[in-house]
Amino acid sequence: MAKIKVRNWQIQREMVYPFEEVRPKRQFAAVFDINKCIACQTCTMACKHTWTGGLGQEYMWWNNVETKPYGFYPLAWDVKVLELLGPQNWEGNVYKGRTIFEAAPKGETAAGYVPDEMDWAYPNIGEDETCGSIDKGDYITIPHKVWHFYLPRICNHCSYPACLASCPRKAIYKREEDGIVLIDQKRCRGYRDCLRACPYKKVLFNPETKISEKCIACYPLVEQGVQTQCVTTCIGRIRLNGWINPPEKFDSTNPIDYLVHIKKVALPLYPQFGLEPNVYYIPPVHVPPKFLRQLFGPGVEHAIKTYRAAHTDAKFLGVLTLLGSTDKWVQKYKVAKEMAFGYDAKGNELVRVPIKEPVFIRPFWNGKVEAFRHNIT
Amino acid sequence: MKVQGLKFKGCKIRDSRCKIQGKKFTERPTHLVHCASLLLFSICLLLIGASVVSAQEMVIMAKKIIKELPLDPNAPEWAEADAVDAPLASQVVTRPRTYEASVKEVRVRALHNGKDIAFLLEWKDSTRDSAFEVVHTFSDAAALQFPSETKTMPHFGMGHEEGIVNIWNWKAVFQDGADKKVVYAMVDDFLAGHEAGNPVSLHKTPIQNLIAGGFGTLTAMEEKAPNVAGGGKWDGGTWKVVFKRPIKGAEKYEAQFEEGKLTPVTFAVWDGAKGERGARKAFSTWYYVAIATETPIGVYIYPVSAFIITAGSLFGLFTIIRKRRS
Repeated sequence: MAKIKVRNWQIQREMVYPFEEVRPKRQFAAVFDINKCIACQTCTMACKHTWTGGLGQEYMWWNNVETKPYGFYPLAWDVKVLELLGPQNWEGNVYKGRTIFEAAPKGETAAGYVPDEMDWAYPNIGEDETCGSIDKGDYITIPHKVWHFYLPRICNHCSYPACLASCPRKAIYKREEDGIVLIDQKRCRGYRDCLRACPYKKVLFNPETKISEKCIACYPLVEQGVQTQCVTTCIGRIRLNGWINPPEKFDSTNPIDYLVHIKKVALPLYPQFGLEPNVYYIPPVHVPPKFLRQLFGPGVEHAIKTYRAAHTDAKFLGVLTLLGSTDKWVQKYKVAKEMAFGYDAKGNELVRVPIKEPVFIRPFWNGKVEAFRHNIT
Repeated sequence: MKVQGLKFKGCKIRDSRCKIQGKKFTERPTHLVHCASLLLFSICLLLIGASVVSAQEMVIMAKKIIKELPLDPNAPEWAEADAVDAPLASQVVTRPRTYEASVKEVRVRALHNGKDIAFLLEWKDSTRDSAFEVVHTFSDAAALQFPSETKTMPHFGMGHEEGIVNIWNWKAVFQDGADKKVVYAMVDDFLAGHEAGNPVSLHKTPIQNLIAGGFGTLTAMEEKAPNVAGGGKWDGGTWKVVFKRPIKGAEKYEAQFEEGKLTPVTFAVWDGAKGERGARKAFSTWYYVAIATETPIGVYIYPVSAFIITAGSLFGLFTIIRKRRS
């Protein structure tokens, strides 16, 4: 491999990549607050109905929600890739292990594997399984002694995509205008080198068309200033789309930059893979940080501490309130007078949301129908 | 479901210099690259223990027969053709490389009848892999490669920018897919590969007719050019695949054959069971196919005439001598 070095801010160092660092004009990103995810799979079904209802796409989930630690789609995808990398030590915020590009076997662009046919057959494997069993007389602590959590996943539209890097035909490209990574459906010949290289296994093969497909970040919606299907249909309101800037160019009025670069509460998934993924997760506070560090890097403790103190920070609460409050693409925000405001690029107001919902207490006795209210929430 | 504005911006199918984020990623083969790759190839051949081939073994004689060329790999006509064994080397010139390609040799035969030309490729492969409907396995395949134009000798590994090649690519998956019908539970008529006009998605015959101008530039040409006919049969650990095409190429960039002349050719074989696809393959250096000419009628008439004239003259001479003596 040509020894080109690029800067990866998520691992705080330079790393090997086949192409030079060329950042798009804007980069598609999303923040998922997985403290609020209940694995209802509404995002999954919204995506399925929009994009993958065709022949050859029966097993294909561009969006999936898996239960950690024992859920995987495809089977054992992350533990298999972690094993290929070897030890993954961090010194402070600097990653000292190998990325998938640095761990590439001779003659390959990246370390990877092609999942077996049956690996895709159980998208809900490990659902709701906890990491252990509850002992008699046990009680709840934070973090929980026995835990699981849900991990919703889409394509990360990485800054250094392994799929793009490994395609021998250069049929995969990253759009200059929004950083969305797409497979040219006319140029692909179905070699599946992208599928082999993507450590998140978010490139999928369609045996009907004999070529590969992947999440397209709902670009026809994004081009119209609308958030993606998986974001707008989320009933838990855990998701927010936006543009992310590199850390040295952060914009404090941009909600994604605020959560990722300023509050440092939203973290990339497996930053040690070296792809600079652009879906950022607010880690679940009830899970032991030791486990989360492997998934989200060394910023986990800070993120959990910050998130647990959210009730003391009106601005932070305001930005979190914007998640799921509009289907429009929020580019700027403002928090004032216990209200959070979302704006488009021109400064037009898209949404205003109260940080605290007004409380209405209904009396136990409903005189109108002469009955007690049993559910007064 | 049809989506308005579903346009895939980016590389044009025939543009080898595709731009990603405004940056050119063309790998333009230089003479240095050619020399280096030939050297690598030679080393690979030496490593796999290929015997040194004589000039005669680099030529596949396409004999002329006066009948229709067979599409069946087991047809008796193939017994008339001379076989040449071409050693194959693992592809280590470009990424992804393969250091242990599983097929080490391919047996080649060729025939023509003045109208069509046909090749028979034969190699050992313990499994028949067509990968139809399967996500993680790959198809067995084989290809013939010819220069598209005679003025430049292209790079043996898929040509180069000034040396376009014509490739006939047979795949077991194309062959099986052509006549296999599957009933699915879900029905949605939107297929991205079909909508985008992907030549792999839409291909319906066992062999695809393609051109290339370097690694990563393979482009289907059958929208204009007629398909190369043929197909393969796997039996007892051996693939036999026939490629047949009219001797005159109809379109620009199609290989040209002419009686009495040599046409360069290379071979490539993929073993799907070993994960071989695309650049992960076994391939040969340039060979030559000699298109045999028809034997002129004079070849048969002149010796007979000479014999008759000589015999007649001698008979006459002896008769005269005998008469004079008596």
